[in-house]
Order: sequence, then structure tokens, then C-alpha cells
Amino acid sequence: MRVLIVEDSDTLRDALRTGLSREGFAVDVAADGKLGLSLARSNPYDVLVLDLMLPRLDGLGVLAGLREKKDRPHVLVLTARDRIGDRVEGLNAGADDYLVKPFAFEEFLARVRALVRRRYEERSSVVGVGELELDVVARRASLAGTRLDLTAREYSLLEYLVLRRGHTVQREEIEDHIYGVTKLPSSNAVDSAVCILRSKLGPDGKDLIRTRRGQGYVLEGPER
Amino acid sequence: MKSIRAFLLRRLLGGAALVLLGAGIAVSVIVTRSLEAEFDRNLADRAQAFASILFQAGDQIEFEFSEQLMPEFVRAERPSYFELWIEGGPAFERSESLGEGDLAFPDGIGGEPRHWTAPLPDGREGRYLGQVLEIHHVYPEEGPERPTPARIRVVVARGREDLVAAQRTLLQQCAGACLVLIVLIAVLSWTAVDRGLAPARRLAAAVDALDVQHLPESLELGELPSELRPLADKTDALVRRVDAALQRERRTTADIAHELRTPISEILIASEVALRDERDFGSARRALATVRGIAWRMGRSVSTLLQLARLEMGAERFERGPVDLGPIVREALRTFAALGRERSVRVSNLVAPGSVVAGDAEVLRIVVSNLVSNALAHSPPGTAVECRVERPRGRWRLVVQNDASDLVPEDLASLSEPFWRKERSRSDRNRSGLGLALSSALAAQTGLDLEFELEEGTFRAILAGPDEAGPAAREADLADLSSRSLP
Repeated sequence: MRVLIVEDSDTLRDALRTGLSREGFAVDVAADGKLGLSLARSNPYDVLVLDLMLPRLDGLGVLAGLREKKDRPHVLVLTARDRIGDRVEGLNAGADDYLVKPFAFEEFLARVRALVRRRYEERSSVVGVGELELDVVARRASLAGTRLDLTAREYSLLEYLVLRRGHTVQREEIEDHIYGVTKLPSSNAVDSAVCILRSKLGPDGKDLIRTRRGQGYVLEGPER
Repeated sequence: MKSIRAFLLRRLLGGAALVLLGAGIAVSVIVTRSLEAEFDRNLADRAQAFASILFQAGDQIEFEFSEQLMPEFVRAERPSYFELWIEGGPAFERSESLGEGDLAFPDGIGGEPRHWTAPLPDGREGRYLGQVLEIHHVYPEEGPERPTPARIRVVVARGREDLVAAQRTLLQQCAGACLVLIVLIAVLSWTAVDRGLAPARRLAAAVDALDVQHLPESLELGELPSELRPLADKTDALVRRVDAALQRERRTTADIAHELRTPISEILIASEVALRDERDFGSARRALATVRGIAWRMGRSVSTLLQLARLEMGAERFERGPVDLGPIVREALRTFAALGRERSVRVSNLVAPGSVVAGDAEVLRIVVSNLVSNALAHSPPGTAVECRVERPRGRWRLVVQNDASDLVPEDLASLSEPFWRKERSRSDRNRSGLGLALSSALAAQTGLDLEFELEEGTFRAILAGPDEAGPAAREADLADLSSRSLP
């Protein structure tokens, strides 16, 4: 899942990026509103983490700038302003959730994941496709009850395919959601990642993740 | 004065009582004299009446007294008295009331009546009239036989008790009227003072009803008398000042809370993220370094806030003496030279050594340092910061000037507020937003003025004070006005 953090505090921005990256998110960052809006407009982020008080363009300005964007990311507003009026203003401007500083990283992570699930219309944190089961909170995958040993990137790829199950996902789309702008994948990185993932899924891996020639990949299986 | 009402009532009643007393005394004196004059006229009329009933035929003199016409001379109770003498001769007629007694006829009385007061024969206080009359009815009236009219000495006396009673009644009535008037004046004064003080009570009630949490923009007092208007205006201004101070206080408190939230978030997130991966010692060390940096920054802010609080409480002591601004400005510019280079901001230092002013050296060092770093941090790249000393008419002014196209005149009033920033984001972590607030407080506490001007995109911070250094310092300023750039 790909997240954009727009925060003017270097320390907070770097810590959140490190924390989210370790959790398998592809993270981009911006230190001011103008750069944040530009990145959000030109990349398909799943979640936008947005500070309200930003230099050059404040958070409400960023939200206003994203109003017309198709497939806009879900927005988690971070702010030190905790009055009800401030929250209402932020939510009315298009924020999906609100987190007041100071906050715990666990809560922040849970809210980001909840926004990801909302984006893919998942109500439960445990998603099952056939024998495959994904716990998106614990970031664990198991097949027929056996836990799969996946790297963070492999888990992210599987999670994205599971959340988009039944839909053909293009390679570029996978790149956009799994890699940040600063980590451009090599031309066949997605293909090799899918190949490794299939092998870890065992003999049924190929049936679970099918290749649509010239289009991309699709994860299919009976809903549980 | 403990009570305006008591004061006004005392003065009004005292004044009214004095006026009434004076008026009463004047009226009673005038009326008493009128009564006495009337009394004396009455005696004189009686004497003239005697003249009209005296007849002379040759040597014979007749006095045709009538008891019916003048019963007061014969009555038993409180009678009047008279006695007649032929001038140079014995008494020839006296009132029945006098019996065999005599009245005295003082020496020196002539044709003009003379009055005096003396006891009557019966012991009462009496009023006397003495006069020498010439008989009008002389027979024969014409011809050589006509005798020379005799001259008759007359004394008429009458008791003064009626006059005294009338005077006493008059005095009593005057006193009664005065008392009634004083009571009336007291009631009217009370009512007038009460009504007069009603606007003051309204003002007090309006002030009393003020809610400190929601102070109005102005007091609703309606029509006020002109005497109270200045008080109401001053109270209104005071309320506005209190409101502004409270709002500033709340804003500062909110700003402090806000300022603390961001670094606390930074500490929390940096430490939590580091703790999530127990194997990554490098990350943990970096997080610790970050936390230490933030703690130092917060510590500096808290120290500055405490210093501000102590200044506002007047708990700091300062020394005043001659201070050379030249080295102080040079030191500040040297300290922040890297900031200027980093931001491509040039420096023009026109403050010559020997620019002596009166002040506290440490305070001047802090204020100048803040003004210089502020100017360097906020000047657009490629522009210049200028420092100079001016000495207009008995004052000195240190001017630190820089370009500030982003400022608007409305910002100037907020520059001295803690944590005020043109941009509300906290992107510049090295600046606490307390420098100008501290500088303003320090300047105020040491008798200096720190003012800000904005003119066509040029911002000037002006530190000024009374010029106690004399002409020598002025000459030193003029001697070295060459522009010098920092190395």
C-alpha cells in the first residue's frame, strides 16, 4: 500500500516514514503543502497523511486541491489543533480521519490500515480467498492453516492482490502501490516478485495468481 | 471622602442652612427695626395728638384729654403714660395711670422727638418719647393781644411687651420656616443626589455584571452625564485592554500547548518507531539523538518562557550604564554570519565602534542578537540586512532593517507575541518564536522602546532610548559610517 506523508516536522516525517516502511508500506514524503499536493495529484496513493499547518500551502488547501481528483486517496489528518471546530472543519474539507498530536504510533498505524481497508471496501481485518487467509492487521498470511514466510514486500504484493481480488491489476498499478517514488523498481521487478510469491504459495500458487497476458495479474478464488 | 452622597448632602445642607440662617437674621433685623420704627412713629403720633388738644388763651393753657379717644392712658392693665410740662415750669398734666408719679424728661430734648427705652413706672420695659411742642391753638389767633405760644414738654411712654411679643413671634416663624426649608432642601438634595448617582450605580452594575470569559467589545451604558463619560470611556478602554490581555494570555497558553504537542509527538513517534525493531541499534541511537535534540529545544523554549514570566513579574534586576553598541552588533553579526551566507543575505553594518548608549549590556546583547538573527532568517535571499545607529533629538535608535515583502502592517502588532509566526506552520525548528517577545519584554523592563515599522516592503526593528551619551558619541557615530560586509 502506498502512503504519502505531508508533514513539515523533519523528525516526525522521518519517523513516520521509517515506521510505515517497516510495516511494508511504500512511503513518499513532502515537507510542504505545495509539494504534497503535487505528489498527491500525480501518484495513486492509498492513504494521504496530512498535517494541517504546513508551509506554502496549508492542509485545508491541499484537501481543496484534491477535491476534483479522481480516485483520491483516503486522508488522515494529523494536527495539534484539537478543538471540535477544527476537527469538523478538517472532516468537512474532505479528511477521512483525524488524529490529534501527540499520538501513539500504534494508533496511527491502525488508522492508516483502517483507511486502506475502507479504500478497498474491506470491513474485516481478516480476508480469505479459498485456502488463503490474510490478517491485514497482524500482516500475516496463511495457506490452508499454514503460515507463509513472506518478506514485507512480498506480503504487500499479496495484500494488494487480495484486496483487489477478482480485478486484473496492471504491473504499473502494482509498482505504484508497492513502491514509492524514490524507489523505482527495475523493469521486471514486479514479474519476479509475483513469481517468488507464487512459489511460496505452493502448487496452487499459479492458479491463485493468474497472468492475464498483456494486461497484468489477477488473484481469484472462492470467497470465504 | 468616604461617600459622595454624604459629602454632597453635607455640603448642600450646610450651605443651605448657612444661607437660611443669614437670610433669617437679616429678615428679622429688618422687620424688628421696622416694627420698632412703627412703634416709635405710633408714640410720635400720640405726641402730635396731644399738640392738637392743647389750647392757650393768654396765660391759660388747656389740655382737653378724652378718655374715649385715648383709653390706654387710663386702663388698669398695662397702661401707657404721659406727662406734660410748660417749658421752664412745673408739670401741669399727667396720665391717670401715672397717679402722683412723674416721668423724667431728659435734658437736651427740643422740637425733634427723641426715643429711648427705660422701665415704666409699673416696672415693665417701656419705650419713651420726649419732645417740646409749641401750642397751635392760641387765642386770640391774631392781633397784638395774641400771646406767644407756650412751649410744652411732652413725655409719652408705652410698654414694649407687644413689640417684644411680635418680634419673638416673628423670630419663631422665621426659625420654623428655616427648619421646614432645610428639611425640604434635605429631601430634594437626597433625591437629586440619588438621581445624580444613578448613572454611577449603572456603571458599577455594568462592570459588576461583566463575565471575564466573555468581555464585550464595549460597555452598554446608554446615555451618561458628561461628568461620568470620561470614567465610562476609561472603564471601557480598561475592559478592552483586559480583554486583549486575556486573549493574548489564552493565545499564549494555546500556543505553548501547541508548541509542546509537536515536539512531544516527535519524541513519541521517534522512540516508538525505534523500539519496534529491537535489532536495529543504529535506528535506536538515531532516535535517541533526535529525542535529545528535541529535549534541548524544548528546554530552551521553557527557559525563555520562564525568563519572560520573570520579566513580566518584574523579578529581574538590571544595571544601567554606558554600553558601546558597536562591538555588540559586530558580535551578533559574526555569530549569525553562517545563517546569512546560507540564505545569501548580505549584511551592511553602519554601527561604528564608540556608539555609546545607556542601558544594560547583557540586555542589549540579547536584544541585538535576536533582532539580527531575526532579520537574517527572514530576509529573502539576495537582499541585505542593514544595522545603523541614529541620534534624533535627545534619543538614540538602533535600526536593524531588512526586506520583508511577506509582512503586512497588521502583522506588526503581533510580532512581540510569544510563538507568533507569519506562517503558522512550525517548519523552522531552529526558531522558537520567542525571540522578539523576549526582546520586547527586556527592552520594556530596562526603559527602552522596541518598535517595528514596515514601509514599502522594508521592515525596521528599532531599539530606542534616551540619549545620555552626549555629543562625543554622536561624533563617533559620524566618524565611521563606512559600510562593512561580514567576512
